[in-house]
Amino acid sequence: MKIQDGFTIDAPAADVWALLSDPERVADLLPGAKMGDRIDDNTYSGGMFVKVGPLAVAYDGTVSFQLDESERSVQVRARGRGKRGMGTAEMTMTSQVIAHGDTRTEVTIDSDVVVTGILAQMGRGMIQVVSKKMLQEFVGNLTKALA
Amino acid sequence: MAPRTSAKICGMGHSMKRKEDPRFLQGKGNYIDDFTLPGMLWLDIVRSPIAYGKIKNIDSSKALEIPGVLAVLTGKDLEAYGLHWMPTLMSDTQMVLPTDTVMYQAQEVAGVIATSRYAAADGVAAVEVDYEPLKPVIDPFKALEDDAPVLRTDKEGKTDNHIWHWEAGDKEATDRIFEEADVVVREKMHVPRIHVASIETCGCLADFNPVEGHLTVYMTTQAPHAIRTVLALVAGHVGLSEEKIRVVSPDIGGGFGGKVPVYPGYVVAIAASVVLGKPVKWIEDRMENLQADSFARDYHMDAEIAANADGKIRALRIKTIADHGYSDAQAAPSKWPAGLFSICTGSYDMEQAYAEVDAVYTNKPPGGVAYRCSFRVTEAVHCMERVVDTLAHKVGKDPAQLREENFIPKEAFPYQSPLGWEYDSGDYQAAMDKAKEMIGYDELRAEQAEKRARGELMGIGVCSFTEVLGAGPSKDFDILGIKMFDSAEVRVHPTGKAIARFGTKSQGQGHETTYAQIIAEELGLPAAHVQVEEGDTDTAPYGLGTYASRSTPTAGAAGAMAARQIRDKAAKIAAHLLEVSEEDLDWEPGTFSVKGAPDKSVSIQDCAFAAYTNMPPGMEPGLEATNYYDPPNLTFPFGTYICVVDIDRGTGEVTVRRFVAVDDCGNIINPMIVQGQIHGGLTQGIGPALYEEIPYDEDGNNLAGSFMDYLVPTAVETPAWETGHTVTPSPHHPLGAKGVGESATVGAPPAIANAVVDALAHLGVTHVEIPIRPDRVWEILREKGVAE
Repeated sequence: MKIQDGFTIDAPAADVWALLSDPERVADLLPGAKMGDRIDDNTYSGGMFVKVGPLAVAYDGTVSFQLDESERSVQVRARGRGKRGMGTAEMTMTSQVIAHGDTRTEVTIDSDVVVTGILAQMGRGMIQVVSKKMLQEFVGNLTKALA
Repeated sequence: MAPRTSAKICGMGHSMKRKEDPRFLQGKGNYIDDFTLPGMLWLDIVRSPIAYGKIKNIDSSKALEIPGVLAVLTGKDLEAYGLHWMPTLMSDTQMVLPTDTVMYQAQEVAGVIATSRYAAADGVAAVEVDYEPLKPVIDPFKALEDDAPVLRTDKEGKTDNHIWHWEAGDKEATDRIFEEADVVVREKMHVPRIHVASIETCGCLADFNPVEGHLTVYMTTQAPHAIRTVLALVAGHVGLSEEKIRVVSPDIGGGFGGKVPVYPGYVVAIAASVVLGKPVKWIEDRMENLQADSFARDYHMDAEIAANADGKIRALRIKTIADHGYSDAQAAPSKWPAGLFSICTGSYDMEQAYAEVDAVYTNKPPGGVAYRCSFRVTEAVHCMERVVDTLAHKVGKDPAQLREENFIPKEAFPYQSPLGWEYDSGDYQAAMDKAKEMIGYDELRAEQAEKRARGELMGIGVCSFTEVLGAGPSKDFDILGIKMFDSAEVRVHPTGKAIARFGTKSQGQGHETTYAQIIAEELGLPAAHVQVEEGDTDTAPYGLGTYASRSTPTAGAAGAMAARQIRDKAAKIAAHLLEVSEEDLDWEPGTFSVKGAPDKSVSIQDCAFAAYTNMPPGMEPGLEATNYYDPPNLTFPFGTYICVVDIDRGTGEVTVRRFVAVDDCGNIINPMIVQGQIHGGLTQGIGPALYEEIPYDEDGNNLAGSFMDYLVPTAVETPAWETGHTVTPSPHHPLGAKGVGESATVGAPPAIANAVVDALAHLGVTHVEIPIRPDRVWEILREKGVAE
């Protein structure tokens, strides 16, 4: 499932990029995310808790980051297996930070999400809505962090 | 027809209360999950979250650390015993547990054995399986394209996803009629995958005795004897020979065809019991049941009728793609891969017909169980009854009238259909007349015209179906080579009470009552004194089980024949007791009397006592008989259903306002039970017509895998059924009965679909796919500019 989203925030692009390019800080701001050990330069173990309607799924897995400093873009690849046989989730998300003047910054987010198991069966219609809501919370947290 | 026997005897035609109901109504039924054995262990199953992929690794270590978890069985473990694959009833193959590849979502991947159900479930959650997902093939049409990946690579030399081609009829003669016909109508339709969704899910308790090498399996099965034979054939090489296998089918909470096939869970439970030497129980939960087994239908049909300008049908042509999922694991008779689909010419006389079906593999669970349906009759009837309506609209005739003008006339029976059936008896016009009268057809048409003028959407739907059931005659019908006869063994005790055992297995049909009534009818023993037993292969005579409405046509007939054998012997005893010759006896149910001296008589009970205490010289003692009945033909029940629907222009919701069902199932054994069968069948007919479907997304995810998304009708959606009947006895069945369990499930969906199309016909609508959900209707309303 492809999801296109984005947001604009009142902050300098350099500050936004500094934060978004730091995986551990991103994890702090993302609702439900938990960063684990660093596996190699670009890869961490991690966990994600998602609530979609009546379903709550806790994923354990890995997340890797590819930064492109010149383009101010980051590609995040996350792969998790749901606890208690709840299926799997894979996500590839590309975000780019675009400066609009000195104090306004746009962030585009293109994701491709593949879920299997119960979330795919029962939560399919709600995934977009939930992802939007998570992004809103993330932007709220980001705004506070940059304030 | 007035009953021939007294209310005390309660033979055919009496609405005897069901003998099994006191235990069911008091919660005293004995279902599979009620069975407990000392030392019993539990099996729970790890299932695939993906539809297609390679298994890279199965890590059981964390599961085995959980207290109570004793073992985790994988395909590799079963491979050591040669039990990782099993044959299906259609001579296809199916994995029990995979060694390297999963082929559908919810496929069994490993079995966890534990000391409690909870520990087993915890173990399932702790088994870690690494998959490498592959792109699944979900659409059966795409599965047939040249570049589609070949799914069954386990089959040597398989280069496509085509399973088999089946056809019936004269293609050339049919095509010729289509070329010259005045009118041709065509409709493409899908009868989607649905689920039987019985109250009780599937399960078993396997109990292998390692000392004696004896296996007892308590199991939710509609065909215990066939299962025993299949087990012996599949597991003979590990020492399970047929005399050491006992299958017991206890009370069943709904079967509807879903409990005929052998599912991997049963085999894993049996393998676990054999390996561990302990009883092992496996009970599916609801979501497993809705996602892994008991699926029906999934026929994509392209149907055409060729007719004269006045609407006289000349020929029928149907091309079908059948989506069987990963394996052809349906439970149809061997020679009938498309079941009895060739009943598709229905109630109508025509010159020629040609039907073909191509079966296809996809990454879905195996499907095709005959859900309350005599092997694809539901698909055939839906197809024909829909396209007949299209013809009526095309030639501008009332759909009831067009049907009447095309009915096989009652003088034409026995009728030879163009696709090879010999219909036993019928009077289609009588059922139509009665249905029209009951519902007030002409008044409804007038009401519809008024409402249509006001912009309201009301439709009247007609369906005149012909069923084919009672498989079947041994020359044409077998399952894995075993002929589809059925059996009865009747034993009359000295005090004139009896036990009757049958090769079938009731799942709610009321056999304990109706079979007793058949014996009562023939022997004059009160039905209350006849105990009926089924389902234990150690005691019941061999038979192929209960599905496809076959119990009354086969085992019911066997019961009547066995009772007649007993009556013949009783007549000899009566002659001995009355000191007359047999020819001098009159029989009325329960009593032999001397011709011309009716006060000189003996009862059947007197004869029973004498059979053990005072038999004629030279006669073998006892009073019992066994009959294996091989029916000479199938039976062809029929009926006309008419329903009225109203459509909400704001929401697209369809409300079934009235529904009249006139059935003809030949002579009736128990009118109350027949009515109950029809009420239940009609309710199971609204389901697929309006609500039920198991759809899959492009990744092979089951999108209706719980009762949140799989909508079965409740009392709220169920209209007050209005039922009636006509009686056209079967000329070849010993009781003139035909069977009735499935007529309503077959006849109801097209009646409702035809009513919805009828409500929208003036807008140019000729077809709506089932289930007719509000969103589908609303799309049409919006497209036609009449949505509010």
